[in-house]
Amino acid sequence: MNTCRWIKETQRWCDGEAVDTEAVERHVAECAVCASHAEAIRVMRGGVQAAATREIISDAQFPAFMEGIREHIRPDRPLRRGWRALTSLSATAALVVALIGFFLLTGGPQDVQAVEIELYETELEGATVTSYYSEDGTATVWVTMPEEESS
Amino acid sequence: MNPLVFSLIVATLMGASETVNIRAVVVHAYDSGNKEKEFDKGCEEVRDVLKDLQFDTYRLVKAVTISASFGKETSTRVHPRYTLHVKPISRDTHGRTKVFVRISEAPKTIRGKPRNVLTTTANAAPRKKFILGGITLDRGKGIVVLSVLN
Repeated sequence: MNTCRWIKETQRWCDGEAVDTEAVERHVAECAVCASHAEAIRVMRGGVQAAATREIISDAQFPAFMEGIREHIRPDRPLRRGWRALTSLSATAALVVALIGFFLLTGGPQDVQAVEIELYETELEGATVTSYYSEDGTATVWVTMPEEESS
Repeated sequence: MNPLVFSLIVATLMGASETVNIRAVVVHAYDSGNKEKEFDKGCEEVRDVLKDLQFDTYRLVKAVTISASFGKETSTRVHPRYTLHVKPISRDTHGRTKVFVRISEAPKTIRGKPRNVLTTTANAAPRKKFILGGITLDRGKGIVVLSVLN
């Protein structure tokens, strides 16, 4: 806690605004409270100045500085990406070749009949059953019954 | 109950109870000496698939829509002498319904047994007609035009 009545004058002295500079200097030299306060102000201002110091890149440092920037904006390992693209292209080509081979070997996707007759039969003795498709694709199962069954 | 298990059970029950509607149009086809083919009004819905047959006259016997469950045979009397039985079995990846169909003939005597005049299994796309024919009917043939509606 500051108790000296000179404390405000010491503050002005630190700011370079003291009315009687010599008198304040003499007092600060004798008063521990004001001397401590003046020292605290000096330290605080020194820290602020240090924080406010602007970094200056010298001409000698500039090439290294720019190289550091380029490292971060340069395309990421273009050689490796090229290999990746080549691998992907090869895999796609292999897939296309495999599909072509599959279709050549199997004759491609089979046509699906709208109606497919799987099996047909009759229990009538002497009767026959046939299955056929008409020109428009209609599936027909036809039983031909023997004469005695026709009566 | 776990919601996933509950959903599976519900889906299974719904699948098991799913019905298939099958349209059956029974036609009596015969030759009556007409120069041009004659279809009665009841045969209009199946005229397109009958036009290639070699009969000149077509009369409707019965038209019916049968609701049948998968795995269960449903029977419908389509003529005093014949009964149509249909049993949906499954659906394939193309949306076709595999259906077992048979036409049985009533026994001719009291002690006789019904006989299967025609039995077939078909994979049918929705609303695509197919024909079971050649069944003896009076002075002509009985033709059943079937189509799975759903």
